[in-house]
Amino acid sequence: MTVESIMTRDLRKILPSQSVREGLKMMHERHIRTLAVVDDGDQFIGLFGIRQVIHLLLPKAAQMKYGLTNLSFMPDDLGELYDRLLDVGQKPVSDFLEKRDGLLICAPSTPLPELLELLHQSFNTSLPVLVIDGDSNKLVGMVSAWDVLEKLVMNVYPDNGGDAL
Amino acid sequence: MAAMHSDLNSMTNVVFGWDPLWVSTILFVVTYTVIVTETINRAIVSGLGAALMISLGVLNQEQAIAGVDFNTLGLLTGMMVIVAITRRSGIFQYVAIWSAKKVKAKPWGILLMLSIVTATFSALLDNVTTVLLVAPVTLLITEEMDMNPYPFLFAEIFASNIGGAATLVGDPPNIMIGSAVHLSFNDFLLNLAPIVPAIMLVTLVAVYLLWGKGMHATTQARERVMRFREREAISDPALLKKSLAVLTVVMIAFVLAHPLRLEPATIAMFGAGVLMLLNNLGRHADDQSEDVHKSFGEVEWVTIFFFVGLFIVVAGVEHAGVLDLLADWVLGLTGGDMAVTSIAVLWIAAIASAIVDNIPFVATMIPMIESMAPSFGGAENLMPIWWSLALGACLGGNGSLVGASANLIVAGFAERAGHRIPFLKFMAVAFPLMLLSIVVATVYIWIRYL
Repeated sequence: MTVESIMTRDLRKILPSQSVREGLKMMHERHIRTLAVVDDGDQFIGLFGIRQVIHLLLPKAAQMKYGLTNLSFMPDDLGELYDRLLDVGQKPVSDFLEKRDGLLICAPSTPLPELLELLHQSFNTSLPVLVIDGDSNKLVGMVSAWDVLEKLVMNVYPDNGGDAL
Repeated sequence: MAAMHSDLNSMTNVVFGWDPLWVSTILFVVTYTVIVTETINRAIVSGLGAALMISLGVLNQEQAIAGVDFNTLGLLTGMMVIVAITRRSGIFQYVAIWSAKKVKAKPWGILLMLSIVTATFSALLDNVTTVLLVAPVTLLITEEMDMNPYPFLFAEIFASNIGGAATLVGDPPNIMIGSAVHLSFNDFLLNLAPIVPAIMLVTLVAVYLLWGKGMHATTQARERVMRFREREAISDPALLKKSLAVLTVVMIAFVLAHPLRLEPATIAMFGAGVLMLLNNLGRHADDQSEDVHKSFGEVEWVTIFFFVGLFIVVAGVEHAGVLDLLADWVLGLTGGDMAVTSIAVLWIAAIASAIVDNIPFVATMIPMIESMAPSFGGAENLMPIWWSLALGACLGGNGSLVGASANLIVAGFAERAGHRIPFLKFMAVAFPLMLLSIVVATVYIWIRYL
């Protein structure tokens, strides 16, 4: 069994030039956590997901590497958060995406043990593992821990649906 | 001098019978050139330079290790550990926010206070740590106030390098000079600290004329900063008490080092050990292991290993007699006059430190200046030159973005916050302002020592 048999093929895509606001709307409407950012030629560039929303709500000084890690001294200020969101909402998703370099990638033919190891690595980020076709260099699917639960783990139980649990 | 060279040469065992003078000079020049180009990590370059100095026979391993100044390394490492633990308490954020609120969040007041806080911390801790702590708070405050952070960051860069000049532990050049020449914490306090406020004043006046006059913020923006609750920034009050106690005792020990007959490295490493002990008492073995690992992990090992390699490379050229020849050449140019030599060292150190890292420069200058001692009637007469070197190397770091590590750290923060500091834009103001500080230093050296 390989990645191909359990990956999600139904990918939601967004162009890097589309706004953060459009991205947030797409995720909200479809109840999904992550969008694949692809260019005009359908080449995969990176991911934009709900992780970025939390990031965007922070002051810049806390978003950055070596930045502030403790904001307990800041007062509650919902207005400030709204202002920040309205401001970044106009910006393109390309400004905030998780770049391809930092993501975990496999091929459709990757065997399951290797996939499980990749998913294990991604526990801290809860980002999906991306499935890229080697020949076309295009994103053909994504696999999350949820896919493993749904399409693999639950198969071992006789009722095959987990309702008994 | 010639007899001494031949003595030294006969002691070396360079491969193929090559001239140690040339081999060491070429290795030195190549090492420094690659360091300056910054194409390869400086710790790798200095390490390989050192390995070649030994492998080609300029030095044997014993001589190489004797060339490493462990007092400098111990002082740096110890202070890094103490600061790594102390910063977790949140004290530095507390002080920065407290100082901003103390001036009712008026923009120029904040710039002034943050500069003074930066200079003070830089005098007691290393500059890189200081700006790592102050720059993010500065960016937060300026973001909240909707102000351009550039003037604030510019002033903080200057404050960190100027403040660092004030004490033995403030800046690596001072640590190296103090260690090599056996100058105490008090020597630096009495000789360099007095001029530092004057240089800060001149700098802040210039910053005021350039940017301060036009600064203003709305009442609403100031109100946002005034609502910060600085007490909440203290994330670990117990750790705060322990680390402030250790830091205070360490500073007192630096002042009393002479009567206590302790070298600075012993004090710093002692302090680091005690603070780690206090922070781990009663903890489970696994937690202790993790905590100690984390504390040591925050030591800038790249800098420490850079120093090790550099000391060996410099020991190589020193051993081969290159630095004696250079010293003779410099003395020939200055006519062996103390005043001319001191002022020349001050200005050359400043300009060199603005362009290249001041650590390798000072590492080379120290043995070179030491070998001038006979010409000036003994090592005790070299003091004006040492103070000139320290002031030049520390203040010179302000001349460009690459002049000091702290500058690059601030520039990195600015860029990540979307306010890139262009190299030339910074230098256009920073270089003349740095030269102005050197003019002040020249007057000070002249009046006090010459």
